[in-house]
Amino acid sequence: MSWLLILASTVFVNNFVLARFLGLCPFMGVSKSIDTALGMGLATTFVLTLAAAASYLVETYILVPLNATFLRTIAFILIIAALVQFTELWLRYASPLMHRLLGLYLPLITTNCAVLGVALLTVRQNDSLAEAAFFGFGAALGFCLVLVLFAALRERIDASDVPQPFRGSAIAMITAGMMSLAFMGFAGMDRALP
Amino acid sequence: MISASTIQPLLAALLLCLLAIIAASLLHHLSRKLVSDDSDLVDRIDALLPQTQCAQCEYPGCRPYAEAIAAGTAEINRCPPGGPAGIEALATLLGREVIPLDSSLQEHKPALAALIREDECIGCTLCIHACPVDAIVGASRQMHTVIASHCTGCELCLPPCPVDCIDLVNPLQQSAT
Amino acid sequence: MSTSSPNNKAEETGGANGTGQVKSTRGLSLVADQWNTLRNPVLKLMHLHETSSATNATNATTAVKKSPAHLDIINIPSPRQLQFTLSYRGTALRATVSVGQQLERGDSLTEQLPTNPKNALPPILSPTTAVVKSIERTACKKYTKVILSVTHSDKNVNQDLQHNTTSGNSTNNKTSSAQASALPWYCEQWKLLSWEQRWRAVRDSSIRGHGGGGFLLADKANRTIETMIINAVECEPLISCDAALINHHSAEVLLGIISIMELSDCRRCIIAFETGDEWQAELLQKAISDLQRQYENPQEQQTIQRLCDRLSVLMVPAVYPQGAERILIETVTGIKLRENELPGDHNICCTNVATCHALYHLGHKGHPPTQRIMTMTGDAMYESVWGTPVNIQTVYGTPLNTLLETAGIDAGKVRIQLGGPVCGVQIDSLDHAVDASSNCLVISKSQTIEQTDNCIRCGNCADACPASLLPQQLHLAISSGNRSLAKTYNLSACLECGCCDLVCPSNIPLTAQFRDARKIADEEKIKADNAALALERYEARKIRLEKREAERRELRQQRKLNTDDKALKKKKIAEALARARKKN
Repeated sequence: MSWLLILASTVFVNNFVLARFLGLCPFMGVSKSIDTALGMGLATTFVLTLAAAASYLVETYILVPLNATFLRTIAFILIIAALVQFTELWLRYASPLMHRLLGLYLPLITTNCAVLGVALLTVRQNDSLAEAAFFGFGAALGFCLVLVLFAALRERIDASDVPQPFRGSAIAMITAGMMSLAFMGFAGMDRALP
Repeated sequence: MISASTIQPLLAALLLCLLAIIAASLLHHLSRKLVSDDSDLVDRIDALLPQTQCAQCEYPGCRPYAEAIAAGTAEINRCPPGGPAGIEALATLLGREVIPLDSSLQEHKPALAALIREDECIGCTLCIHACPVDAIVGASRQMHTVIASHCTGCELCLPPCPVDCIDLVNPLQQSAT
Repeated sequence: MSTSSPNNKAEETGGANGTGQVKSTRGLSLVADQWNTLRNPVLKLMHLHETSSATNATNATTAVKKSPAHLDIINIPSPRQLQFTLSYRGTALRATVSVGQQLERGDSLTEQLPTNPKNALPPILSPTTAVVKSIERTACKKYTKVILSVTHSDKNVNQDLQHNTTSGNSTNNKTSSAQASALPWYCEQWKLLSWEQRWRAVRDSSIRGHGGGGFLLADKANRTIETMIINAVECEPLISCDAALINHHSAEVLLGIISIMELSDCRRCIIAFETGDEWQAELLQKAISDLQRQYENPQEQQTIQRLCDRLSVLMVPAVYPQGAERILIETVTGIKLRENELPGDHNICCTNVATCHALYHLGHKGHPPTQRIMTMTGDAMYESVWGTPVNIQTVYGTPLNTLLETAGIDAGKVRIQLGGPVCGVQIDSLDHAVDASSNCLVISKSQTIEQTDNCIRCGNCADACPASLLPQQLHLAISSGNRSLAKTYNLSACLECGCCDLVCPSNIPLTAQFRDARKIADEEKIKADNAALALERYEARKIRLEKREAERRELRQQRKLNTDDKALKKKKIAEALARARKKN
């Protein structure tokens, strides 16, 4: 049951975007349309899962035995950068349009604090490789979910009659804040699970 | 005396550098192998262009212009026949800002059709060769005439005509089939 | 021939039977007590006038509209000037006449149809002898307008069919196999025509649907038809031109129906009436039984009997917009047409009763009808010369100015809608005339327009839409300029029936907005199609040029080989000569 717990915790209770407020840059920047949001979400899922797993491995087998935990940040950024480069290469090959649409936000996954945050939290919290990978996957799933929800909301809002001072980023921020409030309702859910 | 506490971090750093080198070489190899085929993107851009093949964008046809946009060497605002609506469609597809039509190019006009003043035509076939969509019917020393429903209004037939007998008219006044 | 009750599909839609009921989930049942809850000010005022002058108060709208006592047809004499806008359903046509040209009845003002029409455009025919007075552009600059001065001639022109027969000389062998029946009411010329020639004549006479859509009859019906549906539903309130036609000319209407059955060779023909119009069904049934006894010739009897056996009458619920083609087809046959499908794809044809009457006229008199029946209604009609809304019979091309003058109404003080009160279009200028799709004119005094507010997302429009669309979402998509979103919400399936307008609490002019957006979407589609064609031709030209280049290269190669050959030959001949000389 711990798998379900991890999933519920990372997707709903401690959602990385709406509860921990990490990764807000792509959250705001890529959510103008559902297609780009989904593309970004999937790319981040790939990066996060592998990054969490690889971080765990590096931490456990290189950094900790060699007493070099102060190199954690550099090492993790190295891993994440390599993974993002690979994702970008592959995306440019598979779907040039999606690559074009995501534009600058794709290499920005490297500096996405959610990704580094997940990596750092993994090593603190998790005991095994599988759990670490699953933790990363759950975090990415939460990120993806919230991104798509927000994109759908924004598409509807863009078509609506918003007062002039609020158009664009302002109403988006307010909506994000309300979503965050809504997700606060999940607090305590992990206690309810067995 | 070199103790374990000095070696270990160095070893860790070394191992990380090794990892970095491996990752870098892998990526280098992959970037050679995964050559991107832009043709799908070019097709989608091409589908939004008006296909007049007029070269007003300073590319020799609509597809070269689409390829240039896909490669990033051309802006999306270089097509006068497409006009602001075309720029908006391209901007939506590529997720970019809508920009006004390039002022160094011709203005956007609604589509006109060429009309040959048949009394003055000398049958030289120069316009027939110039038309990119074969919309002019005729032969050497025979009458030339423009099939109005096929004409895209690209104006490429006007310069070659030696007697300047081609006009551009509103197609509604011409025919309605 | 039988009368059947509405099928299950109709009952599911919550059909009304005049007993007063809650608003159905599809379309609107406009029974008297509901008029007060309607928002549209024009309709509200008309309702008030209706109830004040109605003799039968239980069902005010149907009483005034459609009881036989109120359905006279007033004949408006041919005016001095006729006006024709050269267009067919939005496509501009080109005038082929010039100023000062003399025209006879049946002469075309526009290009004739090509022999193999794929995107056929119908000719616009002059209804009488006239002289072309002027050719101008319309106010919106898109169409050409031809104004004719009517002259009166003593010539009894019956040459129209001759036009058609000479131009319709088809040499295909199908004519012998398609036996054209000679029904007894046909005129001599029509009896002589083959089946192919008859369809050619129908096309050339430019008979179009009289119900408001105005599609060419020949396009709709000249194909394999299994089910012919005759639309006598006339669901829009206050329109009664079809009812008047049946009231006075039921026998001729029946003959027209039989004619179209015979021409299209359909397997079954269903005449649809609204519940509440049983008297019309009875009139038609009486006409059928009269017809079956009328002719004594056994062959004629047999043909008529065979056709009448395929005829049946169906009463459909009186729910607006039951008379819309797609809705009616679904009610009658149960087939739900998809967005791009036409009735012809399912071998169905839906025709208005007045169109059938026009076909009868063509077969019986030999030339297409030059007049049509139209309803003039609206609260301003109570102050007209006749004192009530009327059905008039008027010549095609009669300008609206003339109609208003004849009615004694001051054009400057009224609001005019072309079409019915619910789905009609309000016009700004009087630069219109009676044409094939004019079935009603709503002239209303009220100038007040209720204020339009923002959409409050109440969802009434989605409840009322008979095409199961979401007008609220369409409104948002179109207002924000997001055309692809409008396409996703199926804008092209909108019937433009006006139900959403009626129930909107914010008085948003939804139907007008959808109509405009559809026009723009159609224009864009045409542009995209043209671009695709241009690309095709460009590619074909590239291939042609490459082929030519390749051929030239080959030719050059050949020539080179030939010259080499020649040099070799010369050399050999010279050697042979040298050898011969040496020998000698």
